[in-house]
Amino acid sequence: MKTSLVVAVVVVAIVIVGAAYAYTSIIAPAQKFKVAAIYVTPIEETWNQVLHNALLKAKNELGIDYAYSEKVSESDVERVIREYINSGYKLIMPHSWGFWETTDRLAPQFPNVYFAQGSGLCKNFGKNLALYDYYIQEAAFEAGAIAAKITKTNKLGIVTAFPGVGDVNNLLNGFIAGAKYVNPNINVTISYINSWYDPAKAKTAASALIASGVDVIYAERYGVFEACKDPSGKVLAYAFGNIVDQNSLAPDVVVGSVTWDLYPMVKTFIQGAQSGNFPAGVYYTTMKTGGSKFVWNSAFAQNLTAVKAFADNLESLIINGTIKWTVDGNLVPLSTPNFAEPKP
Amino acid sequence: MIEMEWALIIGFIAAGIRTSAPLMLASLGETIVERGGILNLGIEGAMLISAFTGFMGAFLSGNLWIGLLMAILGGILTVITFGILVVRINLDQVVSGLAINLLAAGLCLYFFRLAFSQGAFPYLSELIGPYPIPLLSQIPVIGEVLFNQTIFVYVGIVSVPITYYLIFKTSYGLKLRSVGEDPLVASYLGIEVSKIRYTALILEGIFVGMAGGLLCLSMFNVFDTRIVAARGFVAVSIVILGRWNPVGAFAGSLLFGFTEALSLWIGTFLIGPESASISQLLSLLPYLVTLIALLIGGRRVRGPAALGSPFSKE
Repeated sequence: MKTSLVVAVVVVAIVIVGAAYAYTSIIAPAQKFKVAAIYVTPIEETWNQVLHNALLKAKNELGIDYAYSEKVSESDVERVIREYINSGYKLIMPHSWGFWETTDRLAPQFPNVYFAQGSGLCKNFGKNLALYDYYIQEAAFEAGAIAAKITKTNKLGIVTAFPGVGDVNNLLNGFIAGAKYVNPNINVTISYINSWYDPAKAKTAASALIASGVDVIYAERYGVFEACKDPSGKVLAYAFGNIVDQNSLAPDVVVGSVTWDLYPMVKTFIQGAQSGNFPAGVYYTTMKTGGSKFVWNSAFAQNLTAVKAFADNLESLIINGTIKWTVDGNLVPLSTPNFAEPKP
Repeated sequence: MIEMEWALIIGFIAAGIRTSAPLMLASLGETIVERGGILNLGIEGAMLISAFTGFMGAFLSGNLWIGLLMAILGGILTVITFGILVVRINLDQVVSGLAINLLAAGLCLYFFRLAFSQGAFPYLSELIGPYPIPLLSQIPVIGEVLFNQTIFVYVGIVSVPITYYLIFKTSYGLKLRSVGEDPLVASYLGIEVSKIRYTALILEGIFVGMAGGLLCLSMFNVFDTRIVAARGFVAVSIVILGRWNPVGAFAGSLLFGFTEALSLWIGTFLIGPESASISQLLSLLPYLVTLIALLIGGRRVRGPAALGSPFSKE
């Protein structure tokens, strides 16, 4: 009985070791480039969704290995980053403001690993750390210009979260600059809901803007579109979506969306890391690189042909660098690009 | 110009009532169970579950009313789950309520992911809009403000006298209140404490289900686990503010809803583009007003004596 047990254990052990050897040496495919993203909230949140979708696309098109951790707290992110590094991940993307200090501290310690931090104030770029944010102010500029073209009351509104958030102000500034590019005397009112997510509050804020005479609203937060129609279905105000394409949410209200596309950036990072030309430093998701896009609601694009043509021209002027703008006053942009005075 | 001002006032009042609606429904439900001695802090989670079941019901069936039915069922199920924990197993009510909230957030996300592929962006193509009541909605001002609202507002308003009557004028209400004051004495008198409490919980489930359903079927057409935004907890405080009385809960909801609307409207009208610095102060307004109202009106108020304490006959 005892002997048979020993024999059985030995046989099982040999089979396992043999199988493991066979797997690693024969069956296992060549190592893919491994990318890990770390999110502070569930991937369903729009800010996360943009990166998640970009990396899923990279997985299909560039053949990378993509893993992610969500709902990671600031106090736990260092452990998660180190575990990914130990498991052979070569590009780590901590995708939350609260992670930037950890990323900034760890990047110099792991020169063979590449880091891309989503928003923050990183300084230790070296050769392996990049910092990105939603620099979609160019698309917001285009939205502002379109808004100024279609308003009848010369009053525009913005519904946003909190005052004094640098990267959000960047977008608001872009929108205001675009509106003033078309009409320097236009009136833009900003309404703060003091919450990152509360569509019911945003709806109330939007209804107040509409009552004050605003007829085009930049919905930096969710919930605005529902206020843009009266009970009979009559459109009281037009709106613009933000970050992701929200045109289908309210097709008769949303003119277009100011969107963020991280695929071009992710592709640049992955290929840069593979070839040794990683673009360390601040990375701008510009219109030129395809990271910042204004997506028209096709119905509006068909009806507003003149405005569409104007906006298309604006895009090419932004892309070739002819249009530059600065925004000052209380809403200080987070950082460069530094733009010159608007010249209509 | 005068016409413009009227339009503003009407718009503001309508916005205030709309903002109050979910609070009104939730606080009416909570008033009933608290009268029976149960403190349901799980109301936040129950609203979330019903927002989710409502959204899924409407999304899958393509019918908003089926969504509303599912929201109510989701509300009842969650509140009954809480009831089993606190009425049958006699667990601590505060802990159980908070556990329900955590469970709700996890469950909603889990089932959302089961239902939709990653990167999907599901939304409802229409919402339950206002239903103008014939004739009454034609009355100037009052008609537009009161009779051109959604079904949720109508149900909320009509339920105030009904719940008042239920609690204070029926034999069920008398039993409910006695269970809330002293369940042991009530049970000696032959009242089936658990039966009374389960009935109250089912009623709360209906109200909370409507409040949660409102958020995803009438207010906004996308589901998100943050959709409730602490409205359940606000409803619990409104119950205290309203002295465990449906009329008080109604008034408290209006007070909170109107100050929230006011804070957003002031930001737009009085301060204009410079609202950045004062907007955060304004957003405190609803909470500040609630606190002040509690200070003024709530000092000598005593809730149901047995509120929050577990009860078993042994």
